[in-house]
Amino acid sequence: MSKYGAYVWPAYAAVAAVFAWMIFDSLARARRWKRKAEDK
Amino acid sequence: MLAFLANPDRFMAFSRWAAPILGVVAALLLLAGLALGFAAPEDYQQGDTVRIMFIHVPAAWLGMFAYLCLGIASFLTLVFRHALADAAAKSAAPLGAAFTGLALITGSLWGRPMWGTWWVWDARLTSVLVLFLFYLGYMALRAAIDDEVKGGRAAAILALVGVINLPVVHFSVQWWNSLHQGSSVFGAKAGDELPAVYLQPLLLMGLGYLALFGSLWLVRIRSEVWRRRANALALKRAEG
Repeated sequence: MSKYGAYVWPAYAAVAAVFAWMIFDSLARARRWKRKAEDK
Repeated sequence: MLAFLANPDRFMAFSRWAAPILGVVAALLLLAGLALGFAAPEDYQQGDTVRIMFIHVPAAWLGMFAYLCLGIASFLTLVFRHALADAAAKSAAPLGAAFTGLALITGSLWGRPMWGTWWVWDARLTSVLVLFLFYLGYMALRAAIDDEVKGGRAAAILALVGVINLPVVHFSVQWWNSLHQGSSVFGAKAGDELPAVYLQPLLLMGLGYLALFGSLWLVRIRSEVWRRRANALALKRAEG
């Protein structure tokens, strides 16, 4: 990655972290509220 | 299509299969985009930092697209007082904020080696920061008002005011003397177009981001529908 690795890799790491949060948070919310809505 | 999906039961039936399909499509597109992006040669001027473009530009596109979705859903909330439109607006905001935040972070990581600075109060950068602040303002206003209907309507008005910022973001590089480069994909001037070796991974990543947003937006709207049903159920129980 030549001399620019110190900028490129953190950029990809930031995207990976934010995507992981978006996916985890969305699925966790869905699971939690589905369970509560179906709790008769 | 909008009228068809306005019915919550039809929306839940549609999104049940559409969300996972879009999720798989997103994963495939992102993997293909990453493979092509890392196989692309270094740029003769930017070197390897050109690879930041493949994750930065789609984040900026999606930050704006999610805000457009938020604006349309807010308009439908205000005009038709439709609960599902309000749920769609509420669900788009955190995703749009995340994409816009990523555009700012990755842009800064590109700017440091290329411009020699992490940040500059340039028209494009500043208007994207304003977009990010509109997302935060929308979420904060919703959270600050206890009455959910009133909070949703107040936030919808704020969201519509923020729509004015979208053309400012897009045309900022033409209206003002900007450090940020002009468009090299949509509406690029002759000679400014990206070569195919960079355009292909960029478009694949863009479509991947779009599919990911679509999938997660549907999942979050479904959660919001369930949350409202659970709250209605709890209220009914409390009333005996």
